[in-house]
Amino acid sequence: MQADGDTAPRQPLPAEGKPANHGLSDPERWVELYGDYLFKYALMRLRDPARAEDAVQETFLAALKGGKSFAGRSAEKSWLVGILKNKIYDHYRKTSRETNFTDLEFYADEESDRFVADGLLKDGWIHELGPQEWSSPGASLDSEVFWKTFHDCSNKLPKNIAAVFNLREVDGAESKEICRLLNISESNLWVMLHRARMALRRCLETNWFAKPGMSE
Amino acid sequence: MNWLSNNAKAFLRGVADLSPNCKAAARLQSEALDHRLTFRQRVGLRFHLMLCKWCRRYGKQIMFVRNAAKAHPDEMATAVPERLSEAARERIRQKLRSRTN
Repeated sequence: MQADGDTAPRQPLPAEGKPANHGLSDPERWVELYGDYLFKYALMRLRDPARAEDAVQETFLAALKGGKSFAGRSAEKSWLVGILKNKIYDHYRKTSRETNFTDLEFYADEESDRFVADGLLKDGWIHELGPQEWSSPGASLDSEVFWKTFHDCSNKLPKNIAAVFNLREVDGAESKEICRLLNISESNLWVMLHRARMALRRCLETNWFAKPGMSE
Repeated sequence: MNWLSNNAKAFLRGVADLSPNCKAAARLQSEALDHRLTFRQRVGLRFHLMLCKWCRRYGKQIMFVRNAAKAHPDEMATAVPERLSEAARERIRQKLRSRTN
C-alpha cells in the first residue's frame, strides 16, 4: 500500500481520447480488473447469479456517476466493494419487506445426535462425538483448500442463515443493525446465528480438521 | 458433620442448577458473541466451562471461525468458484461505454 503522501505520477491507462476520470482507471477496464471479484463477493451474499450480475453492473454505473467522491487510486477496489455492499444491503432490505427473513427451521434439533439423550447427563456432549481438538487451526488460514472447504460448508447453509452469518461474522455488522436491515427480532437473530455457527463448526471439523493430513 | 454435608450438598445442587448443560452452554457461548449475557448466565457458563473441556473447545472453535471469517473477506470471496459470465461482461462493458461516450 502506498501512503497518500506518495505523489509519484502513475501513468494513466490509455484513455482513447476520453478525459482521465478523476484518477480512476479506465471504466471499461473495471470489468477485467474487478468483475470476477465483485461477482463472487455478490454471489456469496445473494446466492443468485442473475442478481449478482445486476449488482455488479449497478455498482460500476454508480461508480461512474459518483467518480468525484473517489479519493485515492490505490483504494479503487475497496471503493467499488463499498458501493456493491450497499447495493446488496438494499436488496436485503427490499427482500425483508416482501418476505419473512426469519428461519427457525434450519438445524432446529441443534445436533441432538451428538448429545446424551437422557439420564443424568442429558444434553451433555457424547464424548466421542463432541468437539475434537483442532490441531494448529491458524495454519489453515493460508491454505486455499481450507477456504474452498469453508466456502463449501457455508454454501450448505440456507440462504437466509448464510446471510445473517455473513453480515455478522464476515462484515462485522452489529446485531441491532442486522435486525433493522432484515426486519427480524434480536432473539431470532441469535438463534439463527447460533445454528449457523454450530453447523459450520461441525462441517469444518468433519471436512477439514478431522481429515488426516488436511490441517497439518 | 451431618449438618455440614447437608449444606455442602445443597450448595452443590445450587451450583448444578446454575450450571447449564452442554447444549445450553453451546447456545450461551454463541449468544455471548452477540450480546452481554445476564449475570446468572455468565456465572453458570463460567462454572460449566471450568469443568467441561468439550464446551471449552466448542467456544474456542466458534471464536476461531468468527475471527477467520472477519479477517479474510478476500479469501472467502475468491473461494467462490463461479465467475462473471462472458455474456454479462459484454453487457456491462456496453452499458459502461454508452454512459461514458
